[in-house]
Amino acid sequence: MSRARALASLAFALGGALAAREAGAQERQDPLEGRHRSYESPQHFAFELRFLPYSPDIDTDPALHGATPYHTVFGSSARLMIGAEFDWQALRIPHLGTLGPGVAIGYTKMNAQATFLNGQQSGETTSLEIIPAYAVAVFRADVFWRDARVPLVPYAKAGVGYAIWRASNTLGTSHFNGSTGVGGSLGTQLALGVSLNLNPFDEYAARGFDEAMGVNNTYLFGELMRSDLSGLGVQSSPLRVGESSWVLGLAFEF
Amino acid sequence: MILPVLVAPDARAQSITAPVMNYYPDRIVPGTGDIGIGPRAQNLNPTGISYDDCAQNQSLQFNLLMSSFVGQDIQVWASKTGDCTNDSNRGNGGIANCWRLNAGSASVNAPTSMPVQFTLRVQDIIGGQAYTTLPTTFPSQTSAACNTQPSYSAVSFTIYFMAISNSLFVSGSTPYEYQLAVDTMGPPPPTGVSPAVGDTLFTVNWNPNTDLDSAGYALFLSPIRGQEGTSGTDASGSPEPTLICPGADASAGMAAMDAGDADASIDGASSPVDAGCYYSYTGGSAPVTSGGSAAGTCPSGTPNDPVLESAFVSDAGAQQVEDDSGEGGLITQPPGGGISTIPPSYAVDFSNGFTAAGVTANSYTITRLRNYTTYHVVVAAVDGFGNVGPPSPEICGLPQPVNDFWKDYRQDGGGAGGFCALEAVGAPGQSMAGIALALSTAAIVRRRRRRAS
Repeated sequence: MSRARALASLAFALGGALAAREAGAQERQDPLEGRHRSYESPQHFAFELRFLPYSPDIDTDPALHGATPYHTVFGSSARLMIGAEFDWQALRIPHLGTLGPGVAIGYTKMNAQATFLNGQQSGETTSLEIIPAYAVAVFRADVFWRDARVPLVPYAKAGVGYAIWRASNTLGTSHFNGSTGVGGSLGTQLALGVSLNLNPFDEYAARGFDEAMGVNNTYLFGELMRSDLSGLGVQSSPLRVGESSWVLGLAFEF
Repeated sequence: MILPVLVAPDARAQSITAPVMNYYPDRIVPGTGDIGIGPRAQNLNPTGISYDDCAQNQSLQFNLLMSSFVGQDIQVWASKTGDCTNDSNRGNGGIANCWRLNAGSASVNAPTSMPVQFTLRVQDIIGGQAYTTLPTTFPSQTSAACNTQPSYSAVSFTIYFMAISNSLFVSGSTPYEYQLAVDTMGPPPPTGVSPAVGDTLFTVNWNPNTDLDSAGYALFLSPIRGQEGTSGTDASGSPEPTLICPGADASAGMAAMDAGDADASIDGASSPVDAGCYYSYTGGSAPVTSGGSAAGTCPSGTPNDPVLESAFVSDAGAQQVEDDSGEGGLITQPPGGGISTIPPSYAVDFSNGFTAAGVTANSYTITRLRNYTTYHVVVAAVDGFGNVGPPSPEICGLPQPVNDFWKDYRQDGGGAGGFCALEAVGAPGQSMAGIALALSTAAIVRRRRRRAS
């Protein structure tokens, strides 16, 4: 429990440790108000900071006929992607949860040494940058937390994704036979996850965070996501920069 | 030594002044003429003198105003540390704290304000610092004076224009003193210079200098970009110097070919790491090299590629590989560590005085090169006066095509590219429009429900 409390404190510190301290000071100045106040600021939005290993599905493209250019150049190690998501909790379903649209964007880049035609490493760098974005419908079942004080909030997301990517080398954007290494890939975005509400681990700080910053709930979440950027049936041969991965992050409802 | 007390013949104090504030002498370049204050590499120091200034045999032309001179001499002296108005610092046979410049006049009569012009050779100003004892005469210095600076850092000189009578400074007179910052020695070369080549490019990496004198770096490339010759001459028809690049530890992209190759690809191991490349001097007696050796080969292997085959010939006697296509160049450096005499045309992107500005720069990529041409590069540090220091050991590299991710992907059959790779005209628009319509509808419905409630 102490570890979870420490984690919660860390999360609160990330968003508003100062605010929490100020709130604490206010508490001390108003001792008659009591510790278990029922005040809670309005809640309409959620913001997520997302961290995930990224290993795009480029080599699954049937057009490659089994060739693995991504793996050959960049290897099998996943790269860290950082991202952010903003949700509008447009609809609250009583005793169930919230539903609304959300948008997100991320960034990752992979570098490797390009090779000479004989396979020897050259002094040139080859890179692939990916900026995935998506628009999804988000459903968060916070009934367990709101009605039963169980600090777990399962959620699901579904929508469309679009990633902008750029292949480059030391000289800039790559070119080959008239094709330029920059473009976009369209597809679907699905995710299932569960958030751990950190408020119960440090109610004092949580309340201060709400009063000062309007943050109702702070979560640590884990998610399984599938980004299938294979064209959505309308793109002929997109670079398959989607992937299936797990995601860890912090979420704030406000 | 007790000096006699000097009493000026005229009770009025002689004075020598510059006509205007912030006065800078014009620079006179032999064969060119008056260039004004001249182009200065260091804008903050328009009074500075660089190796170039000295090597050009520039003169500084002072236009001063004199007054109250009634038969006194006017002499011009220079010093690094001494006060030349102190007679003991000008004493013949003594320590050479001051040295007389080859200018001056005797028995000047200028009771009222009179302009006088002095032309002082930079080499005379600088060269006197080599005196250990003060001579009786002060002959004109030669260009050797440009190599007398003992340190990398700039040195401050003071020029004294003063009234002299009977070899003594006229007490009470007002001399004119002019400060000069002189730096005729470029910074030491960076260490750890290494090549990395790619497709039509050559990246040079080095360890940044830590001295206070360096302000950037100059890269010299041979053959000159865009002038890679094919028959022992450069594009202008001038014969290029013989390439000497025997080592391979400072080479990159050297790939051996096996016999019988008919295609243009290279399919062998890269050359072994053995000795370093070195460069030759035109003005020096011995090459300065760090690990350079004539015993190495660069590149190893016998090129068999049609392109490469014409580019390299193995010189078995010297255990060197020479570039007989005229693509190699001699990168030269004079003795003394002064400004480089490498032909300016070999300098890469040097229009602003540096190839890579800033002492902390540690890499530069030379682009637009020709594949399968051996290029040679040296790196020299440049100071704020524009002095190019001695070059690093020479490195060489062979740019050649690479497989980057995009090329691999496309060659393997990948068809992506662009933002509009949509299946059919209209389809994507309909799809995206459909999505947008659905979202809009949902928003409208929700808003109406809210209003209703």
